[in-house]
Amino acid sequence: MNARVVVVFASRRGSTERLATAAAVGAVEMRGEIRLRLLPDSASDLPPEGAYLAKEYVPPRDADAAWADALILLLPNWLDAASPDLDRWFTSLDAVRQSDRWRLRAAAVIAPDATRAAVEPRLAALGLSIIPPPTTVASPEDARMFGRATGCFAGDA
Amino acid sequence: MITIRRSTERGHAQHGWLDSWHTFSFADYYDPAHMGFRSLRVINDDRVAPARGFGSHAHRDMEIISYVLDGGLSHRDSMGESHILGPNTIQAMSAGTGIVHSEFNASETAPVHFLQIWIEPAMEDVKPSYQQIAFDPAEKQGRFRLIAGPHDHDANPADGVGAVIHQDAWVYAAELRAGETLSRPLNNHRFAWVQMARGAMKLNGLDLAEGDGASISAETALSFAPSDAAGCEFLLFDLA
Repeated sequence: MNARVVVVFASRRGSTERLATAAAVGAVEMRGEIRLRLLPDSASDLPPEGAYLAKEYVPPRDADAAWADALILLLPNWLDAASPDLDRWFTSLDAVRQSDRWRLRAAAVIAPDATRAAVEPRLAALGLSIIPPPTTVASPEDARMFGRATGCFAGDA
Repeated sequence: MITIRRSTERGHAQHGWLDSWHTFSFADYYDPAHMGFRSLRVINDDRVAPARGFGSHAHRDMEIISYVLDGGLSHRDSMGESHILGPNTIQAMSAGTGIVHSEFNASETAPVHFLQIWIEPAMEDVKPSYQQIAFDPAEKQGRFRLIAGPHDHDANPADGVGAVIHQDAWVYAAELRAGETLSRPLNNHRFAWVQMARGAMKLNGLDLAEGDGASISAETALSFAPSDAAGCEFLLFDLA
């Protein structure tokens, strides 16, 4: 069965966006369907080079958790795991989970080790199987391979 | 046999920022009688509001040609390509194993009008690729200008250099002024589709208006003449 993967990321200058796009390509290579979503960023001093991001991407929607089999979450170095923006998104995810629309079954996290260690338990608490990265994800190619693994896992599950 | 697909009979999606006419089934428009023609799967006639567009989305196993009629289209993709496409520029993407791309109106003030064409490739899992070729508008004036053709083609050099796609499908653009005519033979085992981009025309004596399309089979000769002084522009698809 073709997997549905929602790729949620935070980015200000495009670096994490490139990883997110690569992960999405990986999932598509495994014949998955993908949606790309940009986490809202409430900071007031966003860099100009990331101005296109808010135009090109929509934020995560409740409907995504009702649509996707798997989530790939990409968080950059600058984002604190206790970020209010991230917290709001987890709250909205939990609200969908409490409804009968929840479809998500698995999650993969690409983030600095400390962030991943903080975020993965929150995803597991939502009932998601955590897909561990096969290696440290340091490049778009690594992200693409992880996207393939996630697409494959979600399609088989 | 020539069967006309009237512009007003196409699927229509009006989202405010996007006014899109679908020659064949697409997105929420589903008509089992119009799922494509031969390898031609999609012709969308899109008008996008200033600064708006299609956010990043994926494609797989499809040859995607964008042909801008007015304005500029900004393209970004997972292969690292980032371009602005204007009229008389061919953009062709082979999605192959998978690509992610976005398309936005490059202008903050003016709408963009373009045709997006999807052709099913002859094979799956090709390596994704991007091609962009600009040409002089004189190359399509009163003649057929090659937009895209198969990778093993032996194109007529007079038709110009087009994008290479993974299907036995030849795509041409032509513009006719009042008084100009064109004719083209069609091998009787081939099929064709004509899509009006601008203006009105007579195709083998049949009237085609702007946005109309026509499927063609079992014909050996095609003739094209503008219907009025405004002239016309159209695309011709020569299909297996």
